[in-house]
Amino acid sequence: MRKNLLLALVLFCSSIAAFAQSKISGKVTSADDGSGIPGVTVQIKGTSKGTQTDLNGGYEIEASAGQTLVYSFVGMLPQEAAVGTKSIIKVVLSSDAKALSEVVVTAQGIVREKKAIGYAVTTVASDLINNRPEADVSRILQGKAPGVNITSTGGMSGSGTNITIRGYSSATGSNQPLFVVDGVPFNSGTNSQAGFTTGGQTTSSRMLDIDPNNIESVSVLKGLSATVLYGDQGRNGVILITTKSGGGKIKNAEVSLNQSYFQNTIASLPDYQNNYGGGFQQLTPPSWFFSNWGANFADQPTTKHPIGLSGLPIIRNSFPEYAKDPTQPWGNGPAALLNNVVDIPNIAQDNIGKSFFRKGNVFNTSVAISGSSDKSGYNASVGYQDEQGFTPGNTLKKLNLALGLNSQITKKLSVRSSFTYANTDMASPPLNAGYGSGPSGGIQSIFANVMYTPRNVDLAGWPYENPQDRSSVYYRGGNDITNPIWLAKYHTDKSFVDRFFTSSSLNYDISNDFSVTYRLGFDTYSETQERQYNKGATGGNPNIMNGFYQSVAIKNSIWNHDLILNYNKQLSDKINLTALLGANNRFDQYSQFGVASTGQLTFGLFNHSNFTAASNRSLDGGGLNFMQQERRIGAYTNIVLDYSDYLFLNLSARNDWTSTVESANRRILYPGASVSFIPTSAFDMSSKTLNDLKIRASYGTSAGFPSPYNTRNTLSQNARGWSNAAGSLSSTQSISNALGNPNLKPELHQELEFGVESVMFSNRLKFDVSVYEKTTKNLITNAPIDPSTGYTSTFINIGKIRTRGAEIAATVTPVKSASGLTWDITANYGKYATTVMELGGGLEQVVIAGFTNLGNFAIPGQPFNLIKGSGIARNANGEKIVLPNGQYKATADLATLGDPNPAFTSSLINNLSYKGFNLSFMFEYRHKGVILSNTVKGVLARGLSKDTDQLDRDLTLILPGVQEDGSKNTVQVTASNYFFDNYFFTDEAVTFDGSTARLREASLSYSLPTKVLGKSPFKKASITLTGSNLWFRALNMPKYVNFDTDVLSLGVGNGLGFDYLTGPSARRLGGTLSLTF
Amino acid sequence: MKRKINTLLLALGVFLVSSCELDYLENPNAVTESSTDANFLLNNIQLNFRNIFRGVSDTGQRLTRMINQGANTYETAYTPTSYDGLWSSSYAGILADIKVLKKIAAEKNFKRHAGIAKTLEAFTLMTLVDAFGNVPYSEALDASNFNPKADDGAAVYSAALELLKSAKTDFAGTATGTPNDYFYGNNYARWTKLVNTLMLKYHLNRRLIDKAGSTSAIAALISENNMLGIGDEFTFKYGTSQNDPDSRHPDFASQALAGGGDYQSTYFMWHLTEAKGFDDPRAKYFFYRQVTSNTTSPSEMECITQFKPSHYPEDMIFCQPGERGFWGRDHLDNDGIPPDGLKRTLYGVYPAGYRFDNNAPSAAGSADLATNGAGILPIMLPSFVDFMLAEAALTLGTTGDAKALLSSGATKSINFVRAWSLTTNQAAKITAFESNANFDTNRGKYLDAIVSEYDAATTQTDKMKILGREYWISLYGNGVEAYNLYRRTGQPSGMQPGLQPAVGNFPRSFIYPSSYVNTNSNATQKADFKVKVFWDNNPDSFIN
Repeated sequence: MRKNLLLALVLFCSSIAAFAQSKISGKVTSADDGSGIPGVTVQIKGTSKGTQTDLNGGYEIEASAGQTLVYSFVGMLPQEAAVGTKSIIKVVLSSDAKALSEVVVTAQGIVREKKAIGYAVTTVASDLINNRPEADVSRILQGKAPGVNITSTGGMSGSGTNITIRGYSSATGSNQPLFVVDGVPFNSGTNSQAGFTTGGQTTSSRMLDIDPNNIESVSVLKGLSATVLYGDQGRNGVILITTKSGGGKIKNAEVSLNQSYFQNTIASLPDYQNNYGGGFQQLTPPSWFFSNWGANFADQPTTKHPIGLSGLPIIRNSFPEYAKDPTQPWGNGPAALLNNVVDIPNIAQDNIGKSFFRKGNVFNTSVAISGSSDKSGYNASVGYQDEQGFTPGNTLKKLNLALGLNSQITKKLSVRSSFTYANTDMASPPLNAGYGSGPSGGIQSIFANVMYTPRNVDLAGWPYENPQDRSSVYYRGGNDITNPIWLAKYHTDKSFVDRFFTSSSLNYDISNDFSVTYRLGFDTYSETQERQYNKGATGGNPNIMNGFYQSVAIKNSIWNHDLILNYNKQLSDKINLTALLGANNRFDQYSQFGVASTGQLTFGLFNHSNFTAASNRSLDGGGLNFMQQERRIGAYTNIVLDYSDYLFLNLSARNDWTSTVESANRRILYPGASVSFIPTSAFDMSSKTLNDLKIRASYGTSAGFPSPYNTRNTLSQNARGWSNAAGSLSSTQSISNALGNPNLKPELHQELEFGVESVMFSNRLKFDVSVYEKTTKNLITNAPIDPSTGYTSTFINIGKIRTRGAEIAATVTPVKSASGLTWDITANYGKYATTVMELGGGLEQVVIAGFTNLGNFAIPGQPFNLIKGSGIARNANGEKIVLPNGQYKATADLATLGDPNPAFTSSLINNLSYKGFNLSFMFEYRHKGVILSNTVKGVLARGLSKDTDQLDRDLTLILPGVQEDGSKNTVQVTASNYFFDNYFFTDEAVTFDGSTARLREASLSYSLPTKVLGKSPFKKASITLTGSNLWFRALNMPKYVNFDTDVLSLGVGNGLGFDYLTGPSARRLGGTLSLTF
Repeated sequence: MKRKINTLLLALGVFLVSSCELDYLENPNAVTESSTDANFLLNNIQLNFRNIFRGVSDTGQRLTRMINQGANTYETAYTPTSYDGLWSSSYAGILADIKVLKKIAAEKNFKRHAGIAKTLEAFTLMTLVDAFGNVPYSEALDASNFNPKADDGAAVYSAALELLKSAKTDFAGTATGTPNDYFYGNNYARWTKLVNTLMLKYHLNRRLIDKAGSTSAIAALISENNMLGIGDEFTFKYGTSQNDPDSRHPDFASQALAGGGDYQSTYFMWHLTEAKGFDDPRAKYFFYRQVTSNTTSPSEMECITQFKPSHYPEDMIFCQPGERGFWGRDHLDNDGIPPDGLKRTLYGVYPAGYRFDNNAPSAAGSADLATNGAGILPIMLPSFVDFMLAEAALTLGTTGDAKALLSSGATKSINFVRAWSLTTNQAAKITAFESNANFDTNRGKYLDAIVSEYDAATTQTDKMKILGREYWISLYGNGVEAYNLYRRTGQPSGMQPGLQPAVGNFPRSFIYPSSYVNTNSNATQKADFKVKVFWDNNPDSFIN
């Protein structure tokens, strides 16, 4: 791979033979597999004369006897050969296994050897990305790059993913990294049309449109020094993706085919207890409660069918089969009615793993064809993923078409283009925040109630739909929660994405030293999002109950131009200068148009004409129709001075102009510098113990531009302000509550980083350690201001936050035997601590995400995103105070519940290979970081999991604590109250340490040996068995809930540490067959 | 080739430079301030006023046991974040808009706009002071000062009085422009009556700290004799739209479709059904029962198997008033919610616009959606005027017979509840259940009972207790005046205690919102719930 990456540079360095001598020809092959290596520089020592090998590794050069030929290729050990009498010289190059000789792609597509880089870059090779069960590349990267924190919003197929690199640098602005694909920006936004309490959780993040199988490599630029050339866009780190189509590979024609199949199942469910059923206080006869605190099954062998008991005549009358005598009235009420309802056995039914969730099939096919002539190459690929979620109604279909072309048009002019078309269709039942008793605001959510289905509810066996009007039917007497089976069938959130993405670059070599590159990127997609909710749900929100249909058409485009001048000059024997001067112009436009209709006429039809009222506002009142434009212009430079290949000085600067602030504050310059020093080369101290050592230091700056339109005041206008009883509308205007700030300017980031990289014990140990400190000043805060000023908020430059962190990546090879057995262990470790240094302006706290009385807060001197909510009141001795009714007393003020940022995250990747076999498995461990879990709350408070069976429900319990007078608590409460009141009445009770151990991935593959394949048409053939998210345990959470901390119910954004019942994670297991011919 | 390449590069350069437009500063999705329209602004002011009134009213009703108070202590029921919305819609909402509207009105002689705006501003300022005490006023609404100081409540109150006077002048003058008037349909004589009534409210609230001033000012209002009378009810009328906007009465919206929602107050229902030995003529209008008998299942109502808390007085009602299915909750009960959504007592036809209770209960749901949400918010009613005048007569000795005013106040209240309900689609159900003649008989019985009770009361406090209790009952749906009444007079006294023996201090004023204390460097949170507003000089433990 690295051979090809360097091709551009190699081409750039080529020169032309000037005088005639005897002709030498030959072939350069690889020691690894004997194949020819294209692009090897063959140079006559001491001259500037040289050539390059062709596709098959062949070359021709004129040289005279006595001269020496130098064969060099980045990433391989150079070789020399003396020209004698022979006209054919064959050379075998072996790879330079020293880690520091690896080449990596850095900002603006610059390819450098690792030793020249003064900052941390993590590269993830294609073998860690291709043929994975996940369709979302960011999920595949989980745990593979230290310092990169990736959290899924949930386990639904196609759900969004949150990424932060090196902590947080902005409170109000985005902390999501920039995706750069084939050198140009790629929009990875999550275009939610609703908040986390109004059903926004099913929205995909648009990096989902990337085909992981078409990825050749990923580089993660973490620090500001690494990303200076991207300006403000790169301030949160950059994920640089090189696709196979954009990589410009030159190789022989080849077809590769991959076929995968995975089974997608729910990764964990609580271990449910089987002794008690629905009810409260174990009262008999059992009644149909939300909660599972009913009678012991042994004491109450039968119960009345809940649908026969329904409080709604329309329900009971639709199901005469639940009356003993259908000619007589039946239902909940006097004995005569009650006795006429059929009895059913009161037993523990199949749990929801059987009765509700499913085994989803995931098929992935990809075909790639690549090839080349001597002047041009091509790569075309097709990928298709057809995925079923473990939740009924959840599907994801992705089609990716990619074409890459490169051509050497003239000796001086070359062109490279890649084109990608992606079509991503996703469907899912609605997902909305749930608090353990129904979804927020009556806007349905598939997981809101299903996780604590009482044990005696036969979810699969009982009717879910009223045959009269197709409305939802469930076990509750008031029918006030929607049956999850009905919901999965009749409520769907959909998105359809068509995306076109192209990156093209022209390179022209003006002279030996000078070249110019123009690169054009165009990324555009249209995303149609639909919320199709049939009438017939329950839960109190009339718009949902009467049928709701919202369709939103989104169009996003990025035009990106870069014009770059490259200069390379050997200034002296020892000093080499590489310089670059570039200009960038990026224009982003987002627009959307939407309609929300209510009042469905005919069940099942989703066409706005089938609804009685239409509006252009979403369920939470936000406008569905708006557009946003933003332009950045940047000029940047990068100068690298290389002294004798052991000291590298790298200077960068970028000057940006933005359209999001008033002209006085538009321009900003951010410089950066880094030094890399290789003492092992400088002092020639390389030994078997210490092969290579690199010490680096860097300083970088960046800025964060505010989002558009925050500098000027506007007027809020509402055409549909009021509708009176006669239905006549009146319109309203009001002075906007957001105060425009004409003085708003970009926030400033600075980062200092140090690192050490080393290769030891003959390549048996490699490590890379970084420490950094990053500060943001003039922090853009969407500051809440006292409403008595007439405004509630304004964007303002106040405050300062600081992140300190460290990252370690190490690879150990404990076994490397002559028989071919190799065992590699890669360990990744990342920790960060983001602290709010000051908020400024007298602000005591700012809510970053969530609610004002339960959310992530920024508080001076405290970790960023601290969770505050209602706590348990304690006396002066720190003992919990119990009220006379036996419940804990809640604090009057908000209490600090903990820091949701993990203390560190780590992973351990093991790779064992022997002959054709390869076994790899990856563990992850996340240490600390609190999580507030409504899943735990619902499951425990409602008496479902085995955790609640650890205490005898027939006994009374006493909460540990003291009464208000300081005496020991002696108030006895029932098991129902113990769990229900304890978990429901304070947020503190449901906030847990989030330490989690996980087996993220395991795979076993076998590649057929070349000998066996010799006579077949195949060049390569392999089969791989892969599993992801195979096992995990949240160490300090209630044991039997089996909760997965990899969830973010607040959606993609700056919030952290909240689970609002938006979904368990997925486990995938399957295999891939790969053939190349 | 070289030339072609040079041309290409040149073209690129030109393109890059020419596309350097950076002027994307005006939000293409919003209107600019220069297009402000006085009519649209006034619409929003009126709608916001309704929100503010309802915001304070809701807390007031819960604190005075008119509806159930959740949580188990006052401190957990009311935290600083509870009032963020109220604070924001008061200042950033209505007051900021009124400031701009007054400016436009002055320029264009929109005196009617100005009059309405000033009346609502005065009401809002008084409501803010009644709720919070000292609040920002003189330094408020200034974008250049992020930390406005709070003014003394008395000063803000007198600013409100000046606004009322000015509004009165505006309504009397000649004006251009016809605003959209949600309240009185452009009847400015009624607006003037409202202004006078608000002055009555103003002076009555101040009577504890300025007896002489209140007495003379109320006397002047009595002699002017131009306060709200029958037909002049100041109510906000809700609509029936479910979406964009949801214009239904919020109490209707929370219960009508699926039951559940607020619990009624056991104590308040007891007063209307059992306390007097016969039903209040308004009981069937205020409450809608989904069942007409009490439950026997502790699964549905936990308190039926529990003993009355030992700290409850002997004669205090607990758990269920009577045996007819009036299903609510005791004060400060934070139990989990049993499956009683289709059983608990709901808001009735008045003022929420739901069903009239004709003893033929049926569960909430789509069968009879009554007014579809077109209820009212009883902000200031003629009956309130009589009760206020009765209190003034009793305590300040102003003109008027307190007993006669008590009787006329109750009469006006009972009549209005029925008369308004008869304007809804529940009319047929109401008249079928209770003819006008029967209704008159029942009202007569009721009036006789309270008048004789009043006669039997010997001390001013005992008389005030009856007066206060009857005013309180007639205030159903209006917690603003109920909360003022309770703090001013301590009546009706002997309210139901919280379920826990220790529920903390009764809030004598609202705790300041977090959006104020966390952002304003000149703001300090109150020491506790005992902090009183400026006109309340009653002792600390006066009420609970």
